[in-house]
Amino acid sequence: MTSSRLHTVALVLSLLVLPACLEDGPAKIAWNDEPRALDDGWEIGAPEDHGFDREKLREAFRPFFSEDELVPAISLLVIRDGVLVAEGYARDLGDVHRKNAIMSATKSVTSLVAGIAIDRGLLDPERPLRELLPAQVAGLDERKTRITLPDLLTMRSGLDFSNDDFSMAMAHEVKGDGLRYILERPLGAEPGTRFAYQDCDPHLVSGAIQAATGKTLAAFADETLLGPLGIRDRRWLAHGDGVTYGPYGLYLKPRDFAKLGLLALRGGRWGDRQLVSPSWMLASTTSRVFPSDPVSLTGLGYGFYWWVRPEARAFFAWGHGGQYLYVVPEDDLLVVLTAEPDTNIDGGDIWPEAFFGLADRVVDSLR
Amino acid sequence: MIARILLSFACLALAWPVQASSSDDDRPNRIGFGLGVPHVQIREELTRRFRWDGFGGLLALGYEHRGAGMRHAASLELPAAWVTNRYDAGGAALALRLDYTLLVPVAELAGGRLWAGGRYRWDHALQYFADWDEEHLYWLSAHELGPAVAWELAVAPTQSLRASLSLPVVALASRPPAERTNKIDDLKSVGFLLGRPHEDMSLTSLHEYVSVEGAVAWTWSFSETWLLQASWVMRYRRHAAPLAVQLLENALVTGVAHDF
Repeated sequence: MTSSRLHTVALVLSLLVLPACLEDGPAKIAWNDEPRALDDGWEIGAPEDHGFDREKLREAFRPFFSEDELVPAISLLVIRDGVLVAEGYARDLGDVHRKNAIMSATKSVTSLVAGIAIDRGLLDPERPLRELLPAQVAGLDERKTRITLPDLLTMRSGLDFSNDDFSMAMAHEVKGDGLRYILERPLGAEPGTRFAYQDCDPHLVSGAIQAATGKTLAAFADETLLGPLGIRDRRWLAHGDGVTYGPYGLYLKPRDFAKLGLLALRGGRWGDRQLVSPSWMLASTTSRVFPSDPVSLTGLGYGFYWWVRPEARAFFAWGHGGQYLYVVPEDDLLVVLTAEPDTNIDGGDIWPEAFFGLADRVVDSLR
Repeated sequence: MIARILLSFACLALAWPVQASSSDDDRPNRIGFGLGVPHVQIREELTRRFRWDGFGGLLALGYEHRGAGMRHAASLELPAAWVTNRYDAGGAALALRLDYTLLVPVAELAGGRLWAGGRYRWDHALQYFADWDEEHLYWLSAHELGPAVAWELAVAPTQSLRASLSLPVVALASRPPAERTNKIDDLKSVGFLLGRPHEDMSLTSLHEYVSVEGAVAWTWSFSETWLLQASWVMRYRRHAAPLAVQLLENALVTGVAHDF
């Protein structure tokens, strides 16, 4: 029996000790906020040479490296006067070379590409869906055939297709023509009357761009936007029918993501080329609707797939998790944040109110 | 790699010649049913370097043929646990374990009998960490083969203790790829849950995959053919690729068995 007692003691000790065995590691790495010189077209500069108080800017980075704040954050870039003055990576320095899902910030890229197609006369914003996507609306409720491009660009198609269902349904259940499937959804409101943030609308815009240009959204973007910006290492997911996802699905490296923000800050100009017309940039970054649900979005405006923050005279692209291109034209300032899209693991998404705290500190660090 | 496979078979071969000195010939077959409470810990670096842990439930079914010179045992275990991390994020940890063990007596040791042999196990562990807009399944699925030993001691006429250890040396194992696009996992499909982890199986060994299981069990024969069993099982598994994952499970299991 002595033997069994020994076993019992061993058992109890093991049960007490073993549950603590696996290490609970840190979420973030050591502080780093100085941009590295890479051969990627970005000019690197010192913050104080571009109007920043270095210590205040450093303080702005504090929550980015905190274990308890902005937990999903991956990268934070600050660009002023077109110069990269601060750049931090919270999880891995190698993330500078890693493509990350920009999630719904993809919508803002879709808007840029739609603007290019319109600028080039390939896409007419006044034409309704019965002319933009005739095959997909054939035989459907006549009201759906009257949906316009501005309705889609402001999330007012009226179609009832919740984002809670859209992405997984499109990925796994919808076979064949995804655009037709979307348009067969019931109308929850008259087109053009009600804002509902739904992924189905920008996906229809992608379909319209494909129909108008003869190229997928991704291919047309490569040719007219991403290529001229020097963005060649990207991934853009497509539905099974070949139509590029318009609402999400674009994967970019942080610095390439920032190039899109700088383009927007420059009113569509990149170097000596006007890639997107100033009129489209102005139109798409001007508030057209004012979402009130959820309450935390109250006070924000929405243009053509760009969010607007009137109180800060800023506009921004925003993707789930914490993907932001935050543009402050008056200060010639761009703040870029990327984050893990699997955010529940970190206790939650970086919503605008949390991001604004960071962005405002960056703005306040300007002398 | 081939040397390791040969080594594992050599371990089995070495165990063959020794014969048992007693037998369970009267009722050589045993079936059992058990319920348990596992405490599961996971550190999946494909997500973060966090520890997830939590308690759950476990269902176990087993069959054993207790011959005089050889034992065959097969069992099925279905543990499930709800695990959380330090940010109170939750996730489900599920597993399916199916194994077959063959043991032969090799020695008398410390008043008990030492058995040795080999074990095959399919250990299919799945973790799912929920999110509103992004859903991925993580897994460590492995078909393992390696030596196993057990030591049995009769502590009373109707009671016995058994300690066992197994250490697979070769496995066909599968892990998720390091980079996956969003919306790619069809989590509503049982076929996906079982099939996807089998798409990228690769032969591996101790340099990359470590799996060890230790158990202590107490058995009480409360009638001529019925037994009550209580056990503690500790399992640890680690796979190094594409980023490290570690699973540690401690389970208390109790159940009944019937000899026939």
